[in-house]
Amino acid sequence: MSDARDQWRAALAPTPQCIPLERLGEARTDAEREHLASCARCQTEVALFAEMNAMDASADSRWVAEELHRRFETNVKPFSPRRNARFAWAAAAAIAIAIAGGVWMETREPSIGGVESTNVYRALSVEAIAPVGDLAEAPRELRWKPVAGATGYAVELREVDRTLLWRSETSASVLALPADVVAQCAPGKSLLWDVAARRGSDVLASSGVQRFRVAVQVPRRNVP
Amino acid sequence: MIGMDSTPSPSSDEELLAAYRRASGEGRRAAADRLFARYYEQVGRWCLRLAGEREAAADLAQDVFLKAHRHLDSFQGASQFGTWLYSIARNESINRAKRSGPSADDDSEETLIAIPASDPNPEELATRNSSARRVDRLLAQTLDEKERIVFTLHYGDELPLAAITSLLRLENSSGAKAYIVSAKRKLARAVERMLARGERA
Repeated sequence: MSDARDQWRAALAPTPQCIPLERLGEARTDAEREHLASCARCQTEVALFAEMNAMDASADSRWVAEELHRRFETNVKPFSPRRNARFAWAAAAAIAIAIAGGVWMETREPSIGGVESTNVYRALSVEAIAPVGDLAEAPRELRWKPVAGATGYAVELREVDRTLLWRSETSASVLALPADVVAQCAPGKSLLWDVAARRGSDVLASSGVQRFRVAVQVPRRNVP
Repeated sequence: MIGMDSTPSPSSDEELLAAYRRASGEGRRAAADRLFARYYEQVGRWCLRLAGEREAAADLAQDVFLKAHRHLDSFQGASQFGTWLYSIARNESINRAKRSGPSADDDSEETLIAIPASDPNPEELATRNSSARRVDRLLAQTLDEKERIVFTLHYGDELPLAAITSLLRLENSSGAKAYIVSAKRKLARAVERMLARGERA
């Protein structure tokens, strides 16, 4: 192999000693730590994984999440996504049949698996209100918009590596954080949370993962 | 883990996976849908970085979730579900970026130095195992962390520079290209010095 690019590509490929991508969120073993210290490939993967966990929500990312809800809500077959022309024709045909038959079509839950009939309800997105993004101080509560039909909400707070810090449930759309949980919200440390709206044991909707971080306070200098 | 409620919740990844495995038919599909919906926004953020605009990001994310759904039965729970899903998003998006953009796009005058052979059989350089230690040592001694990462993504994963710039949020004016140019210069000088001293990489 004479081409320098080919040499580097081969030399930078993962080895059997490299940390599997699926283990990036797990605690490192001694052998993995030792390997990571010297392996450019694993250092790169760890950096990418950290970057993914540190990404902020934006209007565009919320749009993408809602778009995914919309796309999978249409019960498309796994190999026939919405942008596929075959699906467009099938959808048009289905609508025409429904109109011709006077069929009232109930809204369906998103289904990646894709089925023609379902008796579950449409999954909405729970709109998280706070905390989201960078905060001046540690949050005292989690707040979201209530979901029609929900009888309760299950909330989880996690570290960025998805270690569970706290879980609780409530029937309200606000939940106070216990003092020991508030103490976990150290300045500069990002945390993730999500809330799922439930009716009985059924989950109606989820907020998706929300991220927040308490800003690090820079002490002011005393001006003489 | 602190303050954990003892009441079982059906909304954790583990419990939704258990529900997916227990159920059949519609219940099984509904459990999978709920599980994946928890990650729509996070995967969407990742896809936005690589795809650049939201329609393309939604297309990419859709493919990630379809692929994850096809392979969900093979997920044994040996790792966290979110990390497993990340591995699919990472591979799918980087493969897509490789296909859609030129990988040899650094367009700089600096030559990519060949890896010096360490023994009479340079063909061994084709295998990562035989050259990994030497290459890692060379990169560690020569490049800073950001240069190593950009270099690995560009020459190891063949990721176009624009995609690396966006993925790593590089805010310098020439983005990943600056790191590649710097890395190539440093590596060329380091290899020259090594060869002058009669050393091997």
